[in-house]
Amino acid sequence: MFTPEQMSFVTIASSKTNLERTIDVLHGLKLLHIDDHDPTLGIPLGTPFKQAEKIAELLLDLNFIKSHITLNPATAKDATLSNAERVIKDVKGQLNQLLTELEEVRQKKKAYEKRVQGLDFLHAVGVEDSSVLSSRSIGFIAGTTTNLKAIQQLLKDKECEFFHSWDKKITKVLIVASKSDIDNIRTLLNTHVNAISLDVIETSQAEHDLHQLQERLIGIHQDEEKAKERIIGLGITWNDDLSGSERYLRTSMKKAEAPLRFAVGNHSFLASGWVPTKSMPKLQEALKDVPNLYVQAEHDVHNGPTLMNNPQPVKPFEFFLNLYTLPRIGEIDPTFLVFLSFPIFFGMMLGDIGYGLVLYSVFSVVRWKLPKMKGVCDIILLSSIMTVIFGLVFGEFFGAEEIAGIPLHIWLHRLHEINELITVAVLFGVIHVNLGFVFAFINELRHAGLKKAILAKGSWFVLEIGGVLALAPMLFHTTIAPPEIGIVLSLAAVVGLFLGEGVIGIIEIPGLVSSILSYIRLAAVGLASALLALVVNEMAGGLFASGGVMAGIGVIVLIVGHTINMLLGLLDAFLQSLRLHYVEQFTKFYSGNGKPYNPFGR
Amino acid sequence: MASVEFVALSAALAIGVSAIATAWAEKEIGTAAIGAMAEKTELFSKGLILTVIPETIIIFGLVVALQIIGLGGA
Repeated sequence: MFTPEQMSFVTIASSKTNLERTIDVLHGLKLLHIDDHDPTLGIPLGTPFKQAEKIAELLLDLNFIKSHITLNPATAKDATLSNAERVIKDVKGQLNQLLTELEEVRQKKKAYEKRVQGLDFLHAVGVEDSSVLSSRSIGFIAGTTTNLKAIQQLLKDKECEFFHSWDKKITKVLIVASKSDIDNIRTLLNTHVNAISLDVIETSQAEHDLHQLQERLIGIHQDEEKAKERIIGLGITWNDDLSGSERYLRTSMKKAEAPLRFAVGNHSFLASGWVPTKSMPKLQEALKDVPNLYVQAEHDVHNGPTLMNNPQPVKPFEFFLNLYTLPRIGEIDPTFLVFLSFPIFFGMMLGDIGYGLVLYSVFSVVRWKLPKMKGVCDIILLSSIMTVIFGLVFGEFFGAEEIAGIPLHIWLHRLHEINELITVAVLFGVIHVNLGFVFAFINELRHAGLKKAILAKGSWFVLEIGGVLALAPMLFHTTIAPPEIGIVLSLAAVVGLFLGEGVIGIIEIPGLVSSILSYIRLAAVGLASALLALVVNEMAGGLFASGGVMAGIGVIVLIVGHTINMLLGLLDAFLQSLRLHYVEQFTKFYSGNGKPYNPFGR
Repeated sequence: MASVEFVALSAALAIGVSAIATAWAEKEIGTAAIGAMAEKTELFSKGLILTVIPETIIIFGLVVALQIIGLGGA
């Protein structure tokens, strides 16, 4: 729990004939985090197995299928290569056919729509018989305009026929003139008419033809829908086979490409990677049946991927570490620290029995309905329990100081005892930051030895003690010890820091004060939340006193107000607690940048 | 000098100016965070945390305002 899992560096060597079998065994084991071979060292990488090409082809086809059909992987069936090949080719053929049919229907629809548009235009401008437009000595301009009067003015003494629709804002216009005149008129009207292209539609009764076409168009829409449904039906019939094939093909692809990660010579191969030390026996056991295979393991404490191993209550908090950066091998895994203090900070900032209970119930349901969010939900469940506990301490139930008439005993009144609240917050800060220093000390002890640890990290403690002693008369109006001792200790600490960490250590000293003061937010956010709840209650109380309709509005105000306060509180408490860990505590001791453990086979 | 008006005004100033500063800082960071998120959705959590870092400013403003009110009340 306190450090990531111990890793061993494993090297596996065998003859090339065993390559495929070894890969199968390793893939099934799901234990080896492969260390990709570097070909610049001399030995080349392996080449993928023969079936890789076919698998890649099938995966491409599958991608094409998936672009038209959504698959549900939950009901995947088991598959084999020949099975998958058959299914995919079959579905691909059917899909292509259905897609062609769909495209035909769509083309037809387009043609019809164009006709409808043309007929609609003619009907709108009042031309029921379009035979005049197809004459060779006639030209026409069709378009829309926003300035009908201007056009009428311009065309007053021109030889042409002018048709227009009766729309108010954007009027459709049709100007018919002899072919010789039409170009002049077009230039004349250039700025006023938005031309649309109108293919000459053969009709002698625009309105009638229009209605007929519109009905036929409805039929074509239905055909299109049916074609689409056939494609969806295809997906439903073959979903299980296709999902199973996909799963099988992807695993096979990984296995077929595995030789690219190993060193493969002419007659033998070398695979290397990391395995958790405690699983070494399992690896040895699985590989013992492969002939001519040699395994060598080295227990390595400094390198290797990170596999966190926390017990069940602590495990959900690994979410925060995954968010930030994973611990390196050999370093302290701060997950359990977050487990201890995150709920406390959250509870202190939200601190209301009612809100805690609501959060607990809501997230219990969310946890049940969305199993994927289990980790985060567990974190919030634990935090909401602490919220209820702090609610009891602060004596707040939805902002009020009583539950259904029974007054709550208040240990610390958030609104009236602000200074005490701030003091508690700063106290938490001191403890939290110093925990950070303790772990920095332990980490430094492991890496660099006792002397460096005392100089670089122990100095912080001395500095704090010295600072408190020196400033006690001024800040707390008490003298614990002569301030001169404090000043001496502080100076000694500064020197120690310089020796241990260089100038950077000195620069970080103001950071210490700022870090500790940053914990005042525990008090401030809590204060804001309590005040908001109080305001909501007073508003609702005022409305209740008026009675009648106002009381109904009062209930709404109460519910909406408290919901907003709860959501704000949830978000803010969550983020600020997290930020306190990441920025104020982790920067004191955490280096992170661990590689995630990614075993072959998962 | 410590009349209610000045106490109230100074407390309001303390928190008002801090609020503007915090809002400005978080606006800049938030814009950059959203821009990064548009290209890589996994950055949402990191972006959110980085955006909230300037909260400290407003919290100190609140503390000062409360101290001013406490001072004025006495």
